Amino acid sequence: MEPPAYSRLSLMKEYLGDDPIQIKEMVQLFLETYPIDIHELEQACLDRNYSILQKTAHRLKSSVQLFNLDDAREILVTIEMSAMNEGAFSTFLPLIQQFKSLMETEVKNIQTEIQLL
Amino acid sequence: MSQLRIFVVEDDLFYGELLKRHLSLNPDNVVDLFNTGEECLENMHLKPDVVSLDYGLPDMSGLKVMNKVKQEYPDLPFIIVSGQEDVKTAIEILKAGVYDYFVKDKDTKDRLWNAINKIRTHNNLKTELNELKEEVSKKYAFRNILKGNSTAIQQVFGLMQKAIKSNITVSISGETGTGKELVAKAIHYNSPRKKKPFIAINVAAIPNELIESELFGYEKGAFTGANARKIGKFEQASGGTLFLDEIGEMDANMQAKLLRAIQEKEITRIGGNQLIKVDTRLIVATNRDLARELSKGLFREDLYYRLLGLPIELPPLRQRGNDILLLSKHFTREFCHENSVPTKGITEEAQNKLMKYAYPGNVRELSSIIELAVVMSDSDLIDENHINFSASNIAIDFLLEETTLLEYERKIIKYYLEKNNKNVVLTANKLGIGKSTIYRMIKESQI
Repeated sequence: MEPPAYSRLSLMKEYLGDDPIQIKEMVQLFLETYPIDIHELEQACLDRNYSILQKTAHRLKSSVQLFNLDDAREILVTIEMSAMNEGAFSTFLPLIQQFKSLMETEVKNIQTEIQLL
Repeated sequence: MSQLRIFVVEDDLFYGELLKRHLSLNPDNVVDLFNTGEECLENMHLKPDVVSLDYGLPDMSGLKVMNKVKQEYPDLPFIIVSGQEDVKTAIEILKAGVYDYFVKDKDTKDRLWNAINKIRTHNNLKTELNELKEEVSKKYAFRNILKGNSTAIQQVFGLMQKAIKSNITVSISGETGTGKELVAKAIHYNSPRKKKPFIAINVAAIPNELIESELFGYEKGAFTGANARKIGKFEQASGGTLFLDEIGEMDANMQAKLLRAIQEKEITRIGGNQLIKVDTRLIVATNRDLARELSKGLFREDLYYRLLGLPIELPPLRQRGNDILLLSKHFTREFCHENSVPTKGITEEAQNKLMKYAYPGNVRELSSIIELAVVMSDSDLIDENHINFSASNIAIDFLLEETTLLEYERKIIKYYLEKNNKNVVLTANKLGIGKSTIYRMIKESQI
């Protein structure tokens, strides 16, 4: 199995002292929590709630950054800023969809790296 | 390294758990994770040493949590870890008095780790400082600094007890070497002010033109050479005690300024306009008779009465009877210990010799005499030959014996004969007596 071009887990290793058990546990926690956040983003969009949109995007961007997922983070920054400026709700759903599909790919990459630990 | 209890308050479950696990890599850290501000407030009884706080919590802002906690724990350090990158937020957070603030990015881990290590070092130093302060307090326990059972010294203990229970100004008088500064320190380190500074200043040792800047400080540019602001002793001692030794040497101009500072409880630095409130307890000491200085017009009457407060007069050693022997034995033990030799005894003859001397230099002089005796003695005993008094004080020693005029005469002639290598003619010439008088005394074995 080919290792990915760059490591999604490098920061996790730095934070957790290169301990594979701890890294696996934290990845598991991330995989369990980020879909909840995506659901919250979608719901906030439907509820037309800028505040929750902004807060959830803000919270999620820090976690995403810890896996070096810069593109995913950029999408969340856009959602956060747009919500702060009360942008058109029609623009949010496509961004959330884009984030979702990007995460599906990245999660596969993360899981590949986990197997290499 | 000491254990550090860290609260991590973070609404992002994943991020919070990661910080907790990261900080727990140091086995000296005990980390508690909370997801809301309310949870943090409810657990303050666990007494954290530091709180790492997310700025944007769901129930209240990080700053609100901090301000609530600070009401009860004003010295607790807070580190705000925030996703907010705008300068305005950063300024708001820093102005609120946080220990450190950083934006969540790839360097957060190292910054947080370093900040917490700094807090640990600071806490260790604080603990060490408190332990040292406790040690100093023990060192200055009354019985450790003033040794003696004489009535005179017991009266001093009684007055010192009264002094520590109040904030009254204390004026200590006594001959040189009686321990005025030690008494001042003992009062401070046994009083509720003991954790604040004790600042001592010898008025006689500072030129008149410098005393004002020493006491009140100065602002940058106040005069040539004032390159930076200097905090004066009054301000340094605020909350604690300022000991002004040899207060009788203060000139009239400075006396007026000191009086104002005492009355108003505020000072102004030289070159400054700001009035600075000070809460400084004053202890003054002098070996001069201030009442006499007052009558001569050399000391301000208003200042005299302000400073008089609780007067403590330290008795000269010669009036403390058996305290001389008690102190001699104490100093012997101390010096033997310092020089790593077994504790020596003092022969009866040496004790008699010590009891007969006048000690114009008081306890300080006795300490030097005993130190020398310990060095001079090669055995486990200090005898009379090891006890050497300063030649300049012999005359006072003679007078203390309270003997007959004839006996004084005999002693004086004997002293000068020894000084002049038993030259009778020279001695008779110097004393203005006939040499036959000396010969007669020698013949009659009087000398």
